Amino acid sequence: MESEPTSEVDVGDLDLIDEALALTPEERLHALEVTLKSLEALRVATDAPLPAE
Amino acid sequence: MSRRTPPFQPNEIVSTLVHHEVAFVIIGGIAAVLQGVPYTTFDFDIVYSRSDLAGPKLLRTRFGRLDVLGELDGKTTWESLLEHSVELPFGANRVRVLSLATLIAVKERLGRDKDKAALPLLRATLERQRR
Repeated sequence: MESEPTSEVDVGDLDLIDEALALTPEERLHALEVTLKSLEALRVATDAPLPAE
Repeated sequence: MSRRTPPFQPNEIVSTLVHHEVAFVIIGGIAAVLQGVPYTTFDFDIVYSRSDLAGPKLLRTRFGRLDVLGELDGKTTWESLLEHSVELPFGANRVRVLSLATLIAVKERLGRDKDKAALPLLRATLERQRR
C-alpha cells in the first residue's frame, strides 16, 4: 500500500483526515453515526457478535 | 440470532448535555472525532464538574452509552482539564473537548493496545491541523 515514508499512516488515511477536517464538529459526529449504522447493518446481516463493551 | 444494539447518536448526547447546562469536557474517541480524526468508536466519555452530577456512572441512554467520569485517569478533575481543552462550535452552542495534543499524551501514558493503535491517526491529524 502506498504510504508517505515519514508517516505512520498511509495516503488513504491522510485523505480521510483531510475530509474530516473540512467538516464541522457536528458533521464529523454525523459521519461517525452513518459509519456505525453501516457497520451495525453489516453485523446484523452476518449475524456477527456484538462489539465488546 | 444477534440482537440489535441501541443506535449510537453522539450528536443527541451532546445536545442533551448542552441543553441541561452540564459543565463537561469530552474525552476519548469522541473528542478525537470532533477534532477531525477519522476514528470509529461506540464510547462517549465525559469528565464533568462534580458539582453537577453524582458519579462516576455508566449511563445507558436512549442515544447510546455515556461514560460519566469525575476525573480523567482517576486524578485529573474537570477544572484541571479546562486548560488542556479546546472549545468547539456545536450548533448554536460551544462544547469543551480535550485537546488533541493532550489526548495523544494521555494515550501514550496509558499505553494499552487500543491506545497504541489509535496513536498514528491522532498524530497525523494533529500534524495536518497545524499545517
